[in-house]
Amino acid sequence: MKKGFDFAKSYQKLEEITEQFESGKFSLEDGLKKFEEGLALAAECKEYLKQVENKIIEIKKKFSIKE
Amino acid sequence: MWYISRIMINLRIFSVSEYVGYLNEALAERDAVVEGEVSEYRVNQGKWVFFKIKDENAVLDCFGVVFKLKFPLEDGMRVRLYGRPSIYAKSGKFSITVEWVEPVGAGALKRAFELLKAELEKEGLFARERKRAIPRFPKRIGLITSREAAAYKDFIKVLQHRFGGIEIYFYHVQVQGAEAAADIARAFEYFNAHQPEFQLDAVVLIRGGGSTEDLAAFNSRETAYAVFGSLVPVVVGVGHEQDVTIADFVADVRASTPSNAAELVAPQRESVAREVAEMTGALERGAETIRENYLRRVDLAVTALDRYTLGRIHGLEGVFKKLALHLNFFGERITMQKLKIDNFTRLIKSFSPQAVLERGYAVVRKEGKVISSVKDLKARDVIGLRLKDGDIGAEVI
Repeated sequence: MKKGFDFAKSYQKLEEITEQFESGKFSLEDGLKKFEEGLALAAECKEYLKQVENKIIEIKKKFSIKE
Repeated sequence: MWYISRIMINLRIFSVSEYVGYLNEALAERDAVVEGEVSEYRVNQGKWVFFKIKDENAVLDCFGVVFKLKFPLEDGMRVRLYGRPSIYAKSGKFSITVEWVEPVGAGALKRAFELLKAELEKEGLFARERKRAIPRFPKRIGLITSREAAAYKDFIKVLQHRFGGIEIYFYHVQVQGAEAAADIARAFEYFNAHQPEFQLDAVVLIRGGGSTEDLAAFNSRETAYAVFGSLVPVVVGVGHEQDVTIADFVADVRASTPSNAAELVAPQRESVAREVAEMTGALERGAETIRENYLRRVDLAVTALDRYTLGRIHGLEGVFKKLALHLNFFGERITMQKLKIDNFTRLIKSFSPQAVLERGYAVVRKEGKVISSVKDLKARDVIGLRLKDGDIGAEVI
């Protein structure tokens, strides 16, 4: 997974492209470009979804602002 | 008299102020938890609390500040309070300065809960319009609970099965006992202070089920304000489904249990994967439609081109036909000419000397020259004769 990948953003972008595709708004040239972009986004999202680990960062109280 | 003065001589003499101070020093060591019934409860300027605590035979004045009370009191409510006894110098009145109060017995707890709920509701802490939604795919969340609690393990476990790649900033707190509410409030304060750095999408406050006494911290004013004051949306999940706390009412999102909190925070991996797959399918169908439209356009163009080309070919065919016609005509003329030539040839042939010889004539030559007149011949001339089948010599007589 490439660093700084933002799942929420990619998912939203993918949703937008899909909606536009479903409404059939594209010319061949734009459509092809968007199609490739959409497939790339979908692949990244799928890759991200393979992740199972969540990272737990325990906060040490000494950094607490009070006490 | 002697007796009295004797005592007075032996005893230390205080000023009034000194004596009140002296008493207060002694009283400070007598701090205790006192249980009794509240009466004459009143709040001054929204800040100072005055009431009496009593039983069948005795009564004591109590004084406190509103923010230290976890819930509002009410006359007749049975409570336990902890405080320091002292004499107020200016009035000489004895009272207990209250540090904390807790209701005693199910009835009192329930009543305290209802009173606080009504009060906070009036203040707008539960207002529906201020509830914030949590983003569908959170990247970073804050977690406030006890590291030892089953709630912690449940939450982490359920979250693991749903959506990966989430960073959980975990702040350990006491979730029950006298310090719990203050601890929770500090955790929220900490997250608020670090929000620019952490960029949390939500904060989750959870604990397992318990008795009403166990859940006291989640029914306190302090926790309610802490949840209310959070800079990011708060998910509260306490106990079992039937446990409802004040913190639940203030929360932006109320979860029924700690596991449910995890479900509300993160979407299900499989369903998201399915959505992505569906979108991929829609994209492919869309691309196919675009391709088909394009192909149809190409087909149309090809058809148009075909028609044009065929038109041109037809044109050419016409030309060829004409040309062929001309060629035919020309051919015929050639044939006719040939025929004429043949006739001519035959005609010419009929004029050839051989044909005459065939008919019995002869060619006469003298010294190679054809002789056509008798004047050119005299006696004894030697001549050559050509007949139809050969030459022969002769002498003129």
